[in-house]
Amino acid sequence: MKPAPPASPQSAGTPYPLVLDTLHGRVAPGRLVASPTGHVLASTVALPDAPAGPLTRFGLAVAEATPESAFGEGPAADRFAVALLTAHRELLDATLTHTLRHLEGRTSGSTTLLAKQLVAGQLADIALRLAEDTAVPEARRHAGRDARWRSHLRLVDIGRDLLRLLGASGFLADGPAGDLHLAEVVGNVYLHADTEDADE
Amino acid sequence: MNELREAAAPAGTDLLDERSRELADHCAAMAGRLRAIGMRLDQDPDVITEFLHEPEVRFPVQGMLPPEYRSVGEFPARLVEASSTVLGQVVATEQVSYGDPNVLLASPGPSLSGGAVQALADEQQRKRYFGRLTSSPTHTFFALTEPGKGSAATELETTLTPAPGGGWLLNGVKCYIGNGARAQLGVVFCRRAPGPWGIEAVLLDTSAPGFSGELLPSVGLRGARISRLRFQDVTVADEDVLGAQRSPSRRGLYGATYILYRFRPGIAAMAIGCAQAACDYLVTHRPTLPRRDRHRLDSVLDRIAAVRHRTYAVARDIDAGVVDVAGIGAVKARAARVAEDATRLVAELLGPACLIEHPWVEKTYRDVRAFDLMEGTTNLHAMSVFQRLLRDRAAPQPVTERAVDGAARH
Ligand SMILES: Cc1cc2nc3c(=O)[nH]c(=O)nc-3n(C[C@H](O)[C@H](O)[C@H](O)COP(=O)(O)OP(=O)(O)OC[C@H]3O[C@@H](n4cnc5c(N)ncnc54)[C@H](O)[C@@H]3O)c2cc1C
Repeated sequence: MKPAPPASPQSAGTPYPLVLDTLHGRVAPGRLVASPTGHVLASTVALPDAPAGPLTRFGLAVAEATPESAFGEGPAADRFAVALLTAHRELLDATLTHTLRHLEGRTSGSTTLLAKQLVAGQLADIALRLAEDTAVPEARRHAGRDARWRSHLRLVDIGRDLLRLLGASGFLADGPAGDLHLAEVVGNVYLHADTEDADE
Repeated sequence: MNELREAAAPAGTDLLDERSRELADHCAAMAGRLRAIGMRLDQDPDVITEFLHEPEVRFPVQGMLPPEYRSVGEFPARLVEASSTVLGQVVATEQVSYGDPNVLLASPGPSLSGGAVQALADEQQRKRYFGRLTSSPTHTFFALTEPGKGSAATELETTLTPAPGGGWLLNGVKCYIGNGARAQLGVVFCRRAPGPWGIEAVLLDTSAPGFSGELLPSVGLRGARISRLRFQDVTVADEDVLGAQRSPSRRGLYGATYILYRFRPGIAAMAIGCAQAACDYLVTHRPTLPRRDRHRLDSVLDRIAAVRHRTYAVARDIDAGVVDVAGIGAVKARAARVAEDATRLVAELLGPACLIEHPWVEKTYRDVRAFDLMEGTTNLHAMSVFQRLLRDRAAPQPVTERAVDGAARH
């Protein structure tokens, strides 16, 4: 089997911080949406004065909400949460395509990594789980914070399994791994269903 | 600085003797300082140079040096000695990584390459390598992985060809090499002839013309400073080919395999240290968890205790001359997975925005993902476990043992 040319580690799509900016603009034109915890996460371009932190090198800025921020609860916040999950899902979908190409470009023995049964099974499982998450009926998927948080956790699971299949290229900040890390952090800030008293 | 951890000895440590426990305590006391340095390294891994004089940075490397190259009088000799076995390395590495794994990885010292030198080099080569390491802080690297060949390391493509007029020429590219672009010295695996026995290990001074290295931007574990290295007609002298006096089946590739087996439990130890640290951090910051959450945390702690116990057992076996390849790979893979699961659980249970409000958690959450990749991915170890399972269950027989020198031993 002739290997395909290796895929570049860069994810082909728009960098996640810029996707995030677009979502802010779509949900609350001219403003940035605050999380229920009072944080605003956007690209370093959208928040040039935000203090430098560990996510700056990924292109993500973190700031406190201001009176100008869109409020962290209510319909705008709900629309934003839904949009975040959709963006995460799209990112995973693009990463799945990237992973298929990447593994087709690598060989071990006389076959590509894509042709290894273990790898094939893992990829199929990932594709099925992604499809399954997409198929959760809207009413159920967006039933509330808990439902959205469950969806987020499923997407994080899928992302981790995908990145493992990218080997060390799935650990580079300038590829899908960087973007998926940001999607995880943004979910932790905007989507987390606070469990504080849930089980008392 | 012990306020980071629970007071009791961690579960799963029953295989440790008194000296190993003393070593563990000694390293545990360093955790607070290591954590502070680790946070700095996450911002800029090169700042390690500011901390090279600190005992927390210097001690963990001592046991990796042959006795005659260790610092005399600086640390209790019995603890340095205790840290020189595979079990000792595991115990020390776990405690040090509880503080922060980046410091150890960013520090000057022998790295995996020192193991390759110990295993393969002749006396002159050993003297040159370790002499240089002790004369001034020297970073080293172990370059096996290539852009096109990672898991399939035996198919590596970097070439070693005879140079006109004598010696050799090294050509090729290596990828994801720890400290590669910052090192002064390293071991490069390269192909002199087709097939697994055609792989050589050469000692390389990075000031050699034709060598270049660039840092790669990793998501986490930035102290490892993974790098891409290029070799363009780099001259390699005959005396820089490691173990040239040995038979082809006993040098290059053999050296790599031998060393990876001995060092692999150390990666498991890093993962275990981080996993335990994450769980303890959660308990410190949320001392009363709802019952269901406590149950989830306890379940992760059970797994940490189990993988710690198994890691100590494989390390102890290696020290006894028995290398259980599948068992070693299994503990590395399982430790990596529990570290990932622990950090994810902690990020969930600490509550909304904890990945912003607790920078150490966010860092550890990124760092631990590396352990799945370092020294072989989980898929490869899983296949080795499966082969072992087939052998044991299809036709039960005693665990195949291999003497550390590579000869089969039954
Ligand atoms: C922090 C860090 C430090 C490192 N330090 C070093 C170092 O100092 N020196 C060095 O030489 N290397 C180093 N590495 C590289 C590491 O050893 C490799 O990443 C690892 O061997 C995997 O290779 P790869 O990334 O090319 O993945 P690939 O081999 O491309 O694997 C991609 C995916 O395919 C799977 N796969 C591959 N082959 C098979 C198969 N036959 N069957 C089933 N599945 C398969 C893998 O499990 C993985 O999921 C480091 C990596 C990291 C992340």
